Order: sequence, then C-alpha cells, then structure tokens
Amino acid sequence: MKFEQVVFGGEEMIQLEPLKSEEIIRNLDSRAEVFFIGCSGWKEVCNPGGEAQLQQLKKDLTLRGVSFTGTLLVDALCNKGMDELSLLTQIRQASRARTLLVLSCEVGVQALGAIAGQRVVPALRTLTAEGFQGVLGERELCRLCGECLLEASGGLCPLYFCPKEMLTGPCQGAHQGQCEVDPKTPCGWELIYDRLKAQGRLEMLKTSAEPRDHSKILPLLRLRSTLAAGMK
Amino acid sequence: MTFQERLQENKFSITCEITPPKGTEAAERLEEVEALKGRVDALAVTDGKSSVMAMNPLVMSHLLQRRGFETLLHVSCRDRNRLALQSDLLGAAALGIANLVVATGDYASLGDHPQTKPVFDLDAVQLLKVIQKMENGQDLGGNPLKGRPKFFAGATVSPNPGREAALELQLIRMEKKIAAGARFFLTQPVFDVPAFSRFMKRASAFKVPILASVLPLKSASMARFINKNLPGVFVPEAVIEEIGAAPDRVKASLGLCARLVNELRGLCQGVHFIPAGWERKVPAILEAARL
Repeated sequence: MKFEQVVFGGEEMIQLEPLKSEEIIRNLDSRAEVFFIGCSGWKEVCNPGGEAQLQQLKKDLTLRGVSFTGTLLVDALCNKGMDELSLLTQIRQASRARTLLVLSCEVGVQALGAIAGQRVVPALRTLTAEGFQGVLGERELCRLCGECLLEASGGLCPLYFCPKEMLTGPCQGAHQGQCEVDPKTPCGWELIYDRLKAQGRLEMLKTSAEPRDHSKILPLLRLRSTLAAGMK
Repeated sequence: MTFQERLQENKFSITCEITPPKGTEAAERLEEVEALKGRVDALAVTDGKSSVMAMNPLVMSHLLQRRGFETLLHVSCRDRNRLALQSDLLGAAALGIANLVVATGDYASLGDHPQTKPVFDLDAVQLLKVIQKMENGQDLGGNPLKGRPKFFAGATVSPNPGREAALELQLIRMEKKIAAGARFFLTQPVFDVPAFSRFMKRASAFKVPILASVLPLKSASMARFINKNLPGVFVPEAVIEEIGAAPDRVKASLGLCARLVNELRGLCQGVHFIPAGWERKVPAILEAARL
C-alpha cells in the first residue's frame, strides 16, 4: 500500500551551520595559541566540512590575526576514546594551545571538553534535529517522549508532525491542508486522518490522549554522566 | 438574564470580542465598549490573540465585569503549563468570571514575539477535562480543592477548514470537546454562508449552541491579509471584489456585515462580532441588522 510521501528538506540527519569568523574571534578570548581540531563527519549523518573546511577557516582566521599551534582531523569527534588516541599524535601542539577550536557538531565539542583541559570553542552550530532518526534512517523521527501512542495515530508521530505537539489535534489553523506554522508543511493531523482512513481505523480518532508526562523527556540519569579523563 | 441562561432558553445571542491593550491603559478599551452596554449579551476577552503580547485577559475581564458587562474569558494553552492554567482558572472563579472559551492557541511564531518558547502542555480537549475535574473538586493531580470553581465553558470550531478530511476532523473534535464539557461554540469567522450551512447541518446534531463569528472587512487589502495570515479563515474573491469596488468602503462593509448576520440568523444560535478596531461601529452593524 502506498501512502502519501512527505518529504522534508536536508540531506544529512544533523544540520550544521558555520559561525562567522568575527563571531569565532569574539568567542576566542585570545587569538594566540589555538589548536584547531575538526571532525570528518559521518556519511548521511552529519557534514562538518572536513579537511577542506578546516583549512579554509584556518586561512581566514590566520589573516585576522589568530595563531595556531596545529590542526588535526579526527573521525567521529564524539567518541572520547578516538579523541584521546588522535590527540596523542599531536600531543605537543595540542598541549601547547590555550584554546581548542572545534569544527564539529556540539556533541564533539562536549566530548572534547570532557577530556581536554583547555577551553573549547565551537566553530559550528548544531541546528535542531528534533529527535532520533534511526541508525540508517531516512525521514522518520522519534521525539523520545517515553509515552508512545503510534498505535492510535496510524504510525505517524503527532509530536513530530504537529508543531503544537497536539495529542488530540488538529487545531483550527490549517489552511487547505497546510500547517498554520509553516505553509509548506502539511497539517500533521490531516496526515494522521488520511492514514487512519486508509487503514479503516478512523475510530482511533475518537480516543483522547491524557496530558503528557513531561518528566519523561528529561535525559535519563544514567545518560547524564560527566566522565572526565583529564588531559595532562 | 445571563449569557448561559440565554443560550439554554434558545434565545439568539450577540457577543463581541475585545482584545486587551498592549500596555497598562485599560481605560481606552473600557471607553470603546461603553456603547455596547445593553446591546450585546457578553464581551469575549481574547488571550494573546494572534500571539501578540497584550494585557492578561483575566484582568481585563475583571475590569469589564466591574463596569457591568458579562464576559467570556478566552483561555489559550499556548503560554501556560497545567499549573498556570489551573491557577488562572481558580483566580477567574474567585473574581466571579463564569464563562470560558477554551482554545489550544495560535502558534507563537505568528505573532510579535516569534522567538518565545511555546508551551502547549495541554490542548483544548484536555483543558476542558481539567475544568470538569476541578468543578468536581479535584485538580489534575488528584488533589482536593478547597472551594470548587463553577464555569460555563465553551470552545471553538472551524466550520470551513478546506479539505473534506479537515471538516471531518473538526466535527470529530467538536464531539470530543462536548464529551469533555464544552457547552457552546464560537466559530472561526464566517464569510461563506452555504459552506456554513453545510457545516451546521451536521453540527446541529450535537445539540450544543453555536455562535457564528462575524468579522467586518475594512478593505479589500484587509481581506487579502486575512487570507494570507489568519489561520483557518478564508474570504471568497467575490466578497473582496465587492468591498474593493464600493465608493464608500465603510458603508459597504457594514452593509455586508448586516446582510451576513441576517443570513446567519436562521442557521445558528447567535453571532459573535470580531470588530478588530471597529468596536465603535458595532452598534451601527446591530442597527443595520436590526438586532
């Protein structure tokens, strides 16, 4: 059975946005002794720009008076073990630096911050991905709310498809099937209606969800570890 | 006779919307609506309408009630979590505000503070259930209340949302809202009477009073602005042309409004005016419509 395909833009799962050089310089409290570490990224997951972006940004910042002790490109900067091993290859240059400028998503910045003694400064912004997209995922997205009601919504997540996160939608803002918030996106609840109708299960719309338990969306305690293997 | 009594006795009722000021000067608003005293059955006070920051409607309602008006207090789920919503409801009850219009709310990005954090902890159906629970003496957490509020709660509905699926959804939701305690409905502004009539054929089966919203069009460009920006409202091209071609726009607009009101009289239980700045012209519309 073919259902209406809804396509949202963007190639990789995680969208990264470069900061302007002026912003980076404002955030570096000193232009001297910066070690520039970048991430290669991961195919279809994220693209921080790799070696090309690293060298181009280094060139531009050097022209603006920043002095680098060295550069390094790492596969998957989000892995602290990988970071430690990679940094060992340039341990002198890295440890001489006062600041680590990091060209990766903000997970990488935090991972590096956990193992390195220096100040970490991001060169990229991580834009919202809103949730988990699977390991080889395409367009589906999970908001990790801990209270799944996909069986009642025809397999379409109302937290993903509805900006107001309505559990008993729709609102009255949709115009000709397009969402009040973004006219280029379809109304999530109309999509749910279409899906349930095709399945012959419109009676699911008669059920009403209880108010959400928002305490479930805080990160689980065991994930909030603050491991630090300090870099000497 | 209260607004609730009027609806229960099937008397055609007139309400008018009022938006609280963006500032502390409530006096100007109070003065604008003075001419409506005795002409309308209640004033509906909006809650951050179109996500434009304005004075708290609870306070505005209270000030209006002190001036002798009965009010309908809009409660939007956009800005307040369940704690704040329940807190406001208790406050409203303490001030003697009896009528509520419960809505999920416009999205924050549409207004003048687009960066704000949207809340939407509850939606309209869930909030109506919370109101029922509070009326039965408990808050949402199951804790006993010292003093139960008593409300006449209503909700909103979009009679002409576009696609057939959207209309089906509106009717399904209307039923859910009624099961959750909604005792009357205000519609989104009506411009297309045949479409409204089709909606009423089905909605009247629920046997709950429905008031059709009427929005006077000040100009063709206002109509186009509405079509572009106001969620869920659509002005037909023929109406836009009529306003645009008229030599006296105000007269044409009031005339159009009066005509619309007369057509709606036979279809529903009341009319809800959304003057959008034309508060002082509402008596003229009422005159023209012989209300």
